[in-house]
Amino acid sequence: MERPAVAYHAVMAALLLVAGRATHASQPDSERAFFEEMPRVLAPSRLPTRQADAPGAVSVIDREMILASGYRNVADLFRLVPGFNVAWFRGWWPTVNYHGLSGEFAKRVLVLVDGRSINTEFNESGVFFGLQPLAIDDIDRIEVLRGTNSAAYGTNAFLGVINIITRHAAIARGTYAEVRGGENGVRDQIVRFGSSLGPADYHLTIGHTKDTGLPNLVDSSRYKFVKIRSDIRLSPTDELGLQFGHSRGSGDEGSPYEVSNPTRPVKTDVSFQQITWRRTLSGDDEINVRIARSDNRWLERAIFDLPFAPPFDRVAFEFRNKTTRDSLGLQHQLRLSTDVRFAWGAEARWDVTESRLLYNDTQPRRANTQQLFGSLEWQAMQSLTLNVGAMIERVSLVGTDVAPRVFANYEVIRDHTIRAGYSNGTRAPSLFNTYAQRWSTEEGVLLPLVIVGNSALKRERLAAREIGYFGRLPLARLQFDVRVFDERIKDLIDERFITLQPPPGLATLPIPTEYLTYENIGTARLRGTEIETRLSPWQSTRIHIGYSQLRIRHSNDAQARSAPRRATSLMLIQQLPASLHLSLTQYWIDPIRWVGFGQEIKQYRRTDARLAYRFKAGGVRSELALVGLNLFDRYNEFRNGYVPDEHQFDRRAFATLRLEY
Amino acid sequence: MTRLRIDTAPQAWFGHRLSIAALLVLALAWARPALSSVEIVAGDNTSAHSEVRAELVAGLAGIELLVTSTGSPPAAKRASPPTVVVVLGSESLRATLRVREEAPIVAVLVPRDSFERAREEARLAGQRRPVSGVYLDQPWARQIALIRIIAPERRRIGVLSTPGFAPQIAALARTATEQRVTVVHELVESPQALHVNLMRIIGAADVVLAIPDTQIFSASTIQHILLTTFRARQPLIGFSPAYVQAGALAAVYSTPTQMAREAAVMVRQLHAGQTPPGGQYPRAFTVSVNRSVARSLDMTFDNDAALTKQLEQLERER
Repeated sequence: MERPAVAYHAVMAALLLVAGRATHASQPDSERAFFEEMPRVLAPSRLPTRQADAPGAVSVIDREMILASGYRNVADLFRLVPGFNVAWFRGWWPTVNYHGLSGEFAKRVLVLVDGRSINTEFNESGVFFGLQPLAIDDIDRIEVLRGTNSAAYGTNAFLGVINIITRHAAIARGTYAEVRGGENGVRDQIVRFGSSLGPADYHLTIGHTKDTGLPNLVDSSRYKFVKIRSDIRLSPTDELGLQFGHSRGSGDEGSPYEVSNPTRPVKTDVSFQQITWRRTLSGDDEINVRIARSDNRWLERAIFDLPFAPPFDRVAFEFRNKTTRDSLGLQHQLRLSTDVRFAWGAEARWDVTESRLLYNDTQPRRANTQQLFGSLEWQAMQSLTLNVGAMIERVSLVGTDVAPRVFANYEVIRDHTIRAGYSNGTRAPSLFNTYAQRWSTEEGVLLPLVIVGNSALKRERLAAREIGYFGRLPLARLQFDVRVFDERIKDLIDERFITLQPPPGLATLPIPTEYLTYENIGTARLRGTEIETRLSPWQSTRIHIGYSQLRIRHSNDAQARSAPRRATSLMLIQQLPASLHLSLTQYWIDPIRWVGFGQEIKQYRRTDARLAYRFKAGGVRSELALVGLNLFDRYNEFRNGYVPDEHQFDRRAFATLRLEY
Repeated sequence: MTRLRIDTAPQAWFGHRLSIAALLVLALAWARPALSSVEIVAGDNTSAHSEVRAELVAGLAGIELLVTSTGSPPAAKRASPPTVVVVLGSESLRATLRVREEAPIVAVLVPRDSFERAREEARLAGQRRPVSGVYLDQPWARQIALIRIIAPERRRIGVLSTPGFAPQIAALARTATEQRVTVVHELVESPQALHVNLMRIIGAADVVLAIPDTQIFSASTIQHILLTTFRARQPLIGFSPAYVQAGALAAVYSTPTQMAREAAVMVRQLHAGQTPPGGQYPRAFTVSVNRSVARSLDMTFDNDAALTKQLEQLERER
């Protein structure tokens, strides 16, 4: 993986040179200051979504909350968002789900990092938060759009969208270092350096993270990553953004308690390159072009010592997977009149995956996607905003489809808006769902669980109705959002056991083999309420409360409990005297049973706390923080059922030192 | 290397652009030997200077105009001395003040600070010519009044400056006290320390006012400043339309045309032999708001024209 890095540096250096020639030194002159042209910094796409106007519910996780949480991985932050549910399937494999219906492969929420989707056809498809080259301190804010957003984002945005926005290169200047150590083998070192070179701002983050995962589970992990971001001003209206990231490491798999599951490292290699060009013609008119490539690799090798007679006493197993997504997208936002804003865009995506284990040969499996969307925001009256949009999407696996959306936001009195809307969502099957031929090991031993894809799969379909309310009491610094929804889903892709004959020539273990395929057999109806409240009664106090109540009716009973009936989160951020900062986070989660394998887990409570002391030492802004996760009783977010204590989340503590100068 | 910008210094006589030369030829053609004329020292070729020249020519219709450049021979050597000399920009003002002549000067596009300094230097050098003009910058009172109109609940105005701006900051603080708001000031000792100062000012203030201190506020720093203030949900108030386009919440400024119009009135008064009015802030001004930024900050207010009217009204009442 050295070559892309070298190429990237060369490209960046060349661009810096070109950009550097384009500008000339400015003369300090107070007179000229009045007529100096300025770059369009706060371009429309850079401004946060305004909750009162949004066609749906929006949750924002800002930097203060990210820091106050003390969390090491971005996945944990979604615990704070109503309707989301997070579990660590292994110490390096978190799963982030909205409204259930999923297991360890979460695939019905679109996750974007600076506009680039990190959903992947990798493995059985989904989002692999644990493997991303992303330092939590590089995140500026996260916007979560709750509810289907296929009309604006297409197939992966079936239930919602997570939008992770990293810090612009111009605001992460200087040197930043973060060192963390504590229980469960937590050892992290992250360093960032940011500066500017002519019209280019850039920063470079490198990190190394390590821990021993969950107790009684072989899931230690160690990753190193590098990420570079550069934002280059080409002219007052044009900005070029370059990003490059690469993460490599391994997480352990297997169990010493199971005869047929040897412990082994899963080596992964995740990288991306992205180029964006943004032209801002005015405060309302912006064109954005993005080219991105993500590359994911997985390698897992083991020798299984099995309790069978030769030749089945030792079976070699190898799982290799290489997946690439290329995308090219264009977006244009503009104002058509004083009351009408319009956004349209197009994107093309090329997904390729190859894996001998998953597809029975090393031929690449491909899916191409083309999207065209438009969205019109019409302020029909001072207090009434209508939002109409649609996405036409063609996915090579399933053909063309349209997902429309209509929303009305009515500001009853100032700062109090009610909204109502109807939207359709669709989700295309993954490459694995379609083409899987997971039959045998490399040496031709039939696997105990065979998975065969189904090329006749259709899209999953969702029709959502929602009413909501967003209110603010600026004096009390109180913000309140309610979302009441009714989502009907049909043609859900679900697993189905079938009977098949293995192809001749495969060696068969002396145990029965199960055959699984996918079909559009599920229907579900999700109804519930989500409430989010933020308040800051005093300057020194911030409170964030999330509550969700969800009832799932599913054609498959096992999935009716794939999300907690009720879940509550409460975060308190308090500034104390003597430069101390305290945050307390509490969760109450109802029972849940993840889709796939695993048992029902009991209702649990969890308390996290962080106490930080900020000080200055020789011009270095420093912060020493103690973080305690799950301060009280052990609980399970996931349970396999093989070993009683397995997957138990115990109390753990670590300390973090952050330095900035 | 060819220079892109034309210098207005006296030596830059050869460098003037075609349009100035054309104007000059045109003006000289008009300048039949007359008893009294007004001389306009042309300034440079930026759009602001061109706009001011055009407006002056229109506003002084009926008066003989002589458009020269700072490199022109002294008016004394010409047929008849001008009644008034109009200068564009600080450099032209200084150059003209070095010329021993009697005609009163009207300066346009000169910030108040430069105007005062040039006048003081000339006075020390024994120059007795009366200098009037329309300042390029806005009075502090007007900028504070704008903040009070668009963000009345934000009463702590943050200002960053280098040491050179200390007297102006003192004046700003006095004006703020009169309008019952507070100025929080951060002295930026070095450009490297800007981020630290910025973070401190964001912590202490609830709105940031940009000032034409180019060591702090410039095209190369504005990105950092706007992104940082915006993340803290603090509006930045600029002093030119370019700031509003960049992402400042609002700005109050006078357009070159507005300033030229007022300068033309001054010239007419002086031409008619009235007492020199001295330096003045522009009376006419424009308010611009970045609506997208305002929306993001959950701020709503009238359109730009209505805001301008509201601010004018407030000034009349005072």
